[in-house]
Amino acid sequence: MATNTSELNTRRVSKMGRRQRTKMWADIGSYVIIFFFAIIALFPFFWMIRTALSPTSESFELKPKLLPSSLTIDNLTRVLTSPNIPFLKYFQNSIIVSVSTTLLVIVVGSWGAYALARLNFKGQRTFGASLLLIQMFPGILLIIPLYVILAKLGLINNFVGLAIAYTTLNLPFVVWLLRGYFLSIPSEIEDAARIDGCTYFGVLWRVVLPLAAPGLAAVATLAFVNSWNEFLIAYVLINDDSQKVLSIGLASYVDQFTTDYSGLFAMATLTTLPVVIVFMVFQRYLVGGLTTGSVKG
Amino acid sequence: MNNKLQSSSPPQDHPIKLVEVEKSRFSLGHFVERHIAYFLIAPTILGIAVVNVYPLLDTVRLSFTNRLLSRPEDETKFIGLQNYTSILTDPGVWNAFKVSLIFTSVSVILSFIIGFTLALLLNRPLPGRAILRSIFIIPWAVPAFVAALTWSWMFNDQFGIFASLLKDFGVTKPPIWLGADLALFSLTVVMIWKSFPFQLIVLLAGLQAIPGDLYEAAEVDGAIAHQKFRYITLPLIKPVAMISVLLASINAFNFFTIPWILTRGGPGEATAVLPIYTYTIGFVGGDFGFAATMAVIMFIFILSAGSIYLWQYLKEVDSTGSQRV
Repeated sequence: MATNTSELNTRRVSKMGRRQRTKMWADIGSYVIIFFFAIIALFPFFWMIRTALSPTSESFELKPKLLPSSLTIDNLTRVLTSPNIPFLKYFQNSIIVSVSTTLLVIVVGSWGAYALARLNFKGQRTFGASLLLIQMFPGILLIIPLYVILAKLGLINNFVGLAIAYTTLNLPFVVWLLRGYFLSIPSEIEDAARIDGCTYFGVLWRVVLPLAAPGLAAVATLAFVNSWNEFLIAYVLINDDSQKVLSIGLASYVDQFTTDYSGLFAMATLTTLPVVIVFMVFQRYLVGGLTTGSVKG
Repeated sequence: MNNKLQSSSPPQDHPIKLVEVEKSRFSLGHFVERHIAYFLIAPTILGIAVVNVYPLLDTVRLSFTNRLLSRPEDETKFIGLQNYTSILTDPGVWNAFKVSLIFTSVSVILSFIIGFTLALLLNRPLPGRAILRSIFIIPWAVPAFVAALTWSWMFNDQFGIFASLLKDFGVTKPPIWLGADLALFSLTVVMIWKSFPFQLIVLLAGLQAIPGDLYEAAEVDGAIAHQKFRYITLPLIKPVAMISVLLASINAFNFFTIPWILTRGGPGEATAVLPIYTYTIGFVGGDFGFAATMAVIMFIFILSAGSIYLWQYLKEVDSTGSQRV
């Protein structure tokens, strides 16, 4: 590290005391700023869980305290077992939509990214540039024709339509990030596999994808979280309760739950935990994947 | 591009030919291998054509019609530029533009400042920084609709925690956070909270990509901390920062979920950002034609602003010669 170099520099050894003090104060300053923003970042998350875990009677206190008088999981079991709230149905739909979106995005996205990174074809530049352009599309621009065309096809109120839409909306950035990642892998191994008679699909499947695993983990995380958290398209396309995903399922309970905030936030907590856990588990790939994918790109 | 290396090798001395000679030149496998790139991009192109390009073209077409949600397609008439001229005279549109620009610019600038500050601090070798990084990711991971629900509950002027805390500090009449005066401020605060982690992670990734030996070389030359920041960190992080700001701006400008759940554009039109205003016209007011026109205007705006920005970015990158897209 940088300090080692200066430690070797004998002329500076006498200054080490002062340097160390400066460094200590800089560290303390850093921690103060970091903790200040960490509290801000965590507080709404904390408040959601606090409301979910405190007794129902406490959610409408005129002066809520930071910590509840007692903790309970009644609200969680209530929303999970109540026959009036199809929470588990929403949860199941969200899992199906998000997992299938993620798998589709990985397969189709890695094909596109491989073509862009390693092959030469007519229209390559146009393809690459249009991927960047498409990310500027306002969701609101797509929603009216999507609604019209899916209504014509009878695919309104069908979460299969949702998974298709989410896959496509994730593809541009996934292809772009994976392209950068593939470029960072030395191509000699692929050439060797080709020379041994491997097909392009074989090279992609057996050589490139295993090497790009951290990049794949990063885009899979983002695609999963994006589809789990999407609201607008689901809101417009789906009305039928049996087809609702969590985002709109929860939103439809906001008015109904004006008297039961602890129930609402119990559902919100159960909705949030899976994505937060996925993000936590894969976050180091996220930072690494973004570094090689976008920065180097 | 380095992919030229691979495909430019002359086919005759490519050992793979030995295998392929035995196969028919017209076999399916051979055909797929020859046109492999097009097979690989076909699903992406197809998806984009159906979910992005067709809707874009259809929205442009709708913007020249008087299509209503309740009016069938065959009774819809072409009305030329009428929707576009009524946009110019609709005060709601101008208000939505103003609100959107304030919301986008303030939230992007502040989330960038917070994100960059934290990225610089977390790039130092601090103990526990991995855990801290995880904490800062949480607002990004929390679904926008959950975030909006939670914040509106905290903003509640009777039962909310903010009102309660202010009372503890002796404020007898706590402000109405989602009232006409403060709604846009509160909405922007939520957006900053939701979006700074993205900038933090992207900028941190950028900082970590700066080679450490640059700093060592500068130190040998006797550079002090702020010189290293000014002459190494800033120029090298600039391309990453510009992309981060661009993506955050596009995201904020198009953002629907948080304003919709938090305020529905109200009170009055105080927080009616463009996506909310467009949605309300289209799906609440039922005027698809006019809403399509709004969407087209939004797209043209974002496209031209984005292109000017990208052009600046490419010029910047070319002149420093540091990184290529």
